[in-house]
Amino acid sequence: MQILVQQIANGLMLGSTYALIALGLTLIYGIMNIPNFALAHQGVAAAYITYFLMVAGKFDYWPAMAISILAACILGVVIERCIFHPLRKSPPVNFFISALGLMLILENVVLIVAGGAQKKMESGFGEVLTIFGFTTTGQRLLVILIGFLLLAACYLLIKKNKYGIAIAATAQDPEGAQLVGINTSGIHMLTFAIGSGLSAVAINLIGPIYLISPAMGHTPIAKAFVVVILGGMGSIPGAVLGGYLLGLLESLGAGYISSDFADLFSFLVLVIVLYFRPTGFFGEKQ
Amino acid sequence: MRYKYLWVLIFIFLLFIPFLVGNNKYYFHIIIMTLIWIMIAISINIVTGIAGLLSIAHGGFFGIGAYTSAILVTQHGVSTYISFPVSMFITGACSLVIGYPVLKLKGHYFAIGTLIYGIIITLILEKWESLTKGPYGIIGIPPEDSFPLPFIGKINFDSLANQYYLILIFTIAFYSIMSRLLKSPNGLILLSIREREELTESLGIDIRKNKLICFIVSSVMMGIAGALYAHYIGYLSPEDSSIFMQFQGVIFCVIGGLGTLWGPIIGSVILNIIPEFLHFFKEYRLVFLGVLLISFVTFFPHGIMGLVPKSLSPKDILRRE
Repeated sequence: MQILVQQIANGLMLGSTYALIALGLTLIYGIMNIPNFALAHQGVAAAYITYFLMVAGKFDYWPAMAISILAACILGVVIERCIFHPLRKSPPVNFFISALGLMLILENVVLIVAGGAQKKMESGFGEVLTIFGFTTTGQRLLVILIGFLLLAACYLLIKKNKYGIAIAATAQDPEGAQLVGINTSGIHMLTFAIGSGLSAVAINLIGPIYLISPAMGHTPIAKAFVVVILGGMGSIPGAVLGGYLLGLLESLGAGYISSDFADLFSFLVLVIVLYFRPTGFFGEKQ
Repeated sequence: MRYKYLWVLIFIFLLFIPFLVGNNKYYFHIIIMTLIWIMIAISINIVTGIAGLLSIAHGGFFGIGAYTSAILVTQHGVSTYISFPVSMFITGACSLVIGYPVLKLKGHYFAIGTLIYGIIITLILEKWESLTKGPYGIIGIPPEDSFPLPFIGKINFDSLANQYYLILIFTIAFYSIMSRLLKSPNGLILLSIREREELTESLGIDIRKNKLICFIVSSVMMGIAGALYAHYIGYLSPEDSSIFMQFQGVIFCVIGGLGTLWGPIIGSVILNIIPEFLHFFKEYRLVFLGVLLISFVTFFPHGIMGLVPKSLSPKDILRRE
């Protein structure tokens, strides 16, 4: 029983991270049809900003994180303007290739600036807590809590807020949105900023749990793509539910089957789903 | 055929490269690796450039071909004359099993589907330690078995010059496969699938069968390149099959000109040889490649071949529209 609760808590933590990055991915894909391969790497760059602010600038965890998330949003807008905006009329293959290029640049710039060694980020929430007989750390609970709040906030933004509705409208029909007076170019920038911000939050939150390293973005981005495909590309509920589902599946698989093959497990789930439902559970038929 | 004499000159130059290089092992290594990259880029060009399928599983097929031959030779003492066909067969079988379901997908779904398979292959190579030695990799892979020639004796492949000739023969074979394909009816079908998939299907062409054959052929070519690489370099690790290796191949194709006949060769040659002479540049090499990739995709989507004036490029050049 205790192991089960422990694994579920772990799964929720992993799931929140996946859901946050997957939500960013799916928003960007829904609006611009860009599979942004570099999204988690943008988050990793933000985590390094937090790390340097904390080590060199003697900032606390929260203000450092706030600055780095802001920086990630700005970086996202710059990337959208400089790299993806000029490509908007070219064949889809080019988006993919540019995203690969961006990934190479971000990872290696971080590597040159910060070095390849893994760094330990101290958040001050590392203490071990015991709640109802099961043990966890404060940071893990924080990931679950913030993940949940942020996803709820995003949901409200899309459903209730003026800008959120404009995002949804642009995703449904770009030309129609333009006809009713929505500045779709601005919406593109906004979406990129939100997506990059979400990814920065996710990597900043798991940074203190694992060690941070320039290459740490690969696993989260691959998992986020698994989630987005499971849920259906461009689908917001699909990304959130898929994120938690994958997190739980993975941690239960690691706990009860084999921890060596936990990664393989989630990819195999995707292979099976793709075989039977190529556009995911919430996706539209091709 | 206005390039008839140019070909002869290039061929003679390639034959004499070992004499020009002499005993400089470092230059030999760069040249042989460039040839291997040309083979990789040609395979990727067939599947991505000609058929328009951005497959990211091909790095995995390189690994499967390399590991199959290496395991058969080092652990079972099989001759390379048997291990090469077996590794081709196994790569082909894997690409059939992967390609059949994944070719149902289109566009980005296809790219991400193949990416997942690529990651799975690398993970299996890393975790199946009893067979692949896991992250430690396989060491001590011998060169190919010697080739008996009547009257002359045996050709051993343990010298760098002979490795060069062997790999050169395969590279020329790869090139002729690609140029034949571009001129053949099958190649035209693949090009029309790339440009207008639904229209091609409406003409009564079985697009899935054509795509699958193209996928398998290019995977097997990737497997051959992998096996040659394994026996040349002598050791293998799971990184050799990673998706990053594949990304580099895609970069070479894009910068040379994706879907063109000379593009993958020009891209591989330029991007392999120039950075080797810029040592101070080493740290920034991948950043530079990334910037180059994005600027080419944005400003010169046809790559270097797109910059060559039409009057100078070969008649059969196929530009991406």
